[in-house]
Amino acid sequence: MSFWKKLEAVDVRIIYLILWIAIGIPLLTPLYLPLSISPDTVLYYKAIEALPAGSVVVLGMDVSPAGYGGELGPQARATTYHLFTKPVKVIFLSFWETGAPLIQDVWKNQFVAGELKNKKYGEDYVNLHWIPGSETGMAAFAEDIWKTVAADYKGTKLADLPMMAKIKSINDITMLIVIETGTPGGPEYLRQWQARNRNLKMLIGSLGVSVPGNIPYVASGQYISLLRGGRGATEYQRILNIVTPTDVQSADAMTMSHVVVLVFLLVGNIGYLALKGQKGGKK
Amino acid sequence: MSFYRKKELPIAITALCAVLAIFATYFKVPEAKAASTTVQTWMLVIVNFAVTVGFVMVIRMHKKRIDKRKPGEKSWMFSAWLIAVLIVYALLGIYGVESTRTGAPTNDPSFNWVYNNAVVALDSAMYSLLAFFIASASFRAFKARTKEAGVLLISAAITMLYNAPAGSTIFGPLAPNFNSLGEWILNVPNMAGFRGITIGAAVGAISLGIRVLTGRERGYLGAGE
Amino acid sequence: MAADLATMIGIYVYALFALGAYSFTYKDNSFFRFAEHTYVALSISYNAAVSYGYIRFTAVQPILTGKDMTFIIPLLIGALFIFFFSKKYFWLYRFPISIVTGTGMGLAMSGTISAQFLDQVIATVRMPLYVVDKILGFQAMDTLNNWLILIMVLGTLAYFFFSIPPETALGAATSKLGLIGRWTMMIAFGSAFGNTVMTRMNLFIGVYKNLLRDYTSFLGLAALILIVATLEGQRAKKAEQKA
Repeated sequence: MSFWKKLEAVDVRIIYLILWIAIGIPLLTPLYLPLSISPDTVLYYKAIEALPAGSVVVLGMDVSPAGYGGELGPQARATTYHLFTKPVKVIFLSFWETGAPLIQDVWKNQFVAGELKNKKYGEDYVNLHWIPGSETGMAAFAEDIWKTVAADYKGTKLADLPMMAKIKSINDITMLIVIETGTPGGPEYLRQWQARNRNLKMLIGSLGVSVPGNIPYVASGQYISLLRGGRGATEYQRILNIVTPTDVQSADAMTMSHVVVLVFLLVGNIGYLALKGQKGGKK
Repeated sequence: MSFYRKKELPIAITALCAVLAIFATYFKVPEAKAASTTVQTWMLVIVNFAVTVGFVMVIRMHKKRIDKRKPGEKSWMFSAWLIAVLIVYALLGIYGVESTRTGAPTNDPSFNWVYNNAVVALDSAMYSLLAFFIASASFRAFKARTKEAGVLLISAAITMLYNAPAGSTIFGPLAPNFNSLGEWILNVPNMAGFRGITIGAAVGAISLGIRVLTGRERGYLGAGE
Repeated sequence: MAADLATMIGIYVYALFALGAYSFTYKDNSFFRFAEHTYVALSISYNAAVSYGYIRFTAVQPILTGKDMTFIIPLLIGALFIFFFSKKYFWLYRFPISIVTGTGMGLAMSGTISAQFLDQVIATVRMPLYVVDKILGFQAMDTLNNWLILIMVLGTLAYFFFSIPPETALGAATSKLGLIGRWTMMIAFGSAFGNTVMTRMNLFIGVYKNLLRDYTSFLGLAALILIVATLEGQRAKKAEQKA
């Protein structure tokens, strides 16, 4: 059996083991590989920086545990930290039942917790927890927030949350930042919120897999900008200067994983062409 | 068969609810808006009952597996475990809601502990299994057999190097040029392709909606007359 | 003390379930099936608990306190879902489904027309095909890109036009434009694959980082699972050979 045939027939578990080792190395010792910042992330940062004082921002934590653990957690934490450095009011909510408990996990982040000391719950930020119904829930919320949401995550009525006194519908919201795993997500917010309030600014933090589908909305101006998955999160952390050694390890591991997949692609295709050549030669 | 048992009545209800929602969106009639908002608020309550169907269905399916077990087989034990966990965690959640007097069961520490250490672990691990399959597919399946596949492969390779935080550094002084190429692929051909798909999908969604409203699409009503 | 113990047990539970799920890549085994069944159970029961919480405090509470009795209506309609399991009264199940489908469809359609159809078409049509900057003058690259986008969008749409016969002149032109759309989509799907790789790898990196919080749990449980999976595999092979 030729070398290329043997390589093609290699046990798939060896490929998995290579992946474990390649990603494990930077997670054990950070390599501090360089990183450039893309224009999308700079635009995302500038959009939040430009928020006037007193703006009402909704942060939609529409995430699954898997998405949060991978790419969306760093995005959510960096965005929350950035918002808390500004004199704006933040409403946290989720249309995913799995995303709502993770809002409190975002608050536990060391940088976010530091900024939270200067904020007062009920006056500067609220957590409206989970709203069911997917797109219908979004429409109901956009029409009448007080009718849709009975209380916050602790059971406190909206009437007892001072900042909610003047926030009744989508027309009272300046910006929406969606951290999305899938459906319901950005397009649903576009259909139900931005369609009702054409002045609503939208930013989106998405999984890498959703980036190609979201780019047309950025190009048309419906979204101001987006964070491109894990890469976007890493860049945003650099701009905000909130990078920890763990974040560096994640970025290096991301690079190593891509290199491994590229090498597999290259070797697999070279082998295919070599075998094709051998079969052609025999003919 | 009586009129109220046939599919025509639910189809009429579907059409009425849809027309109300569309009318309230496009016409500024306060009464229609109020009616539409009320129906939407009610729908948020109604839709939460749908989980009972899944709950009961899973219990029935796994109980069947336990009842049909053969001697020496051990797989029924996993079904028994599933039913036990299902009922216990649901009861823990109900206890969490009642004890904390809030709508969020995760306010209860025990329920939250299981969520953070079990649900999060399982959800993350199950979805991340795809990382392994993508790696093996890259080696075994993703071959440039045709010109189109070759173009797809090159586009994928450039995107991967662009996405990797340090991917462009292999190009040394040409790194900014490579980044520009990556941005171009994302913002021009990728954007154009997905824009065309978005517009096409929107047309498809609207036509499906019209089919449902006019009763031509009845799959959502289940089998039978 | 109790909090530390809960955290430590939590780390082991996390490692058990994560490694149990990953063990599928080595061999199908009991740990994977245990993790799989637990995942199904916890997902459904979590949803059930959260739904109960919403119904309890949004609909039931206003009725009990007398603040809003109209919530009786959605509660009664929602309860009809249970007739899914009845052959005789299955027709009752169709009422809540029709309300949910009708409302959702109406809202989605009205939003789709503007957000995903009109706005995208307008954005394409409004692209300047001769880009001039006030200070820098004519922008060749931007102009070329806009022309490419226009042709590629039209090409992608033309690719999905199956109702024009290719024998006609219009059909032939649509086919040629469709060819441009085909190549556009190949590049777009390549980009999509590249981005998918990033997401899947980041999902794995997230779990891997959590597993490395404690080496004892990670390595100990990994070794245990590998041994059990190997022994189970050998036993299954022997049973097959005997049969």
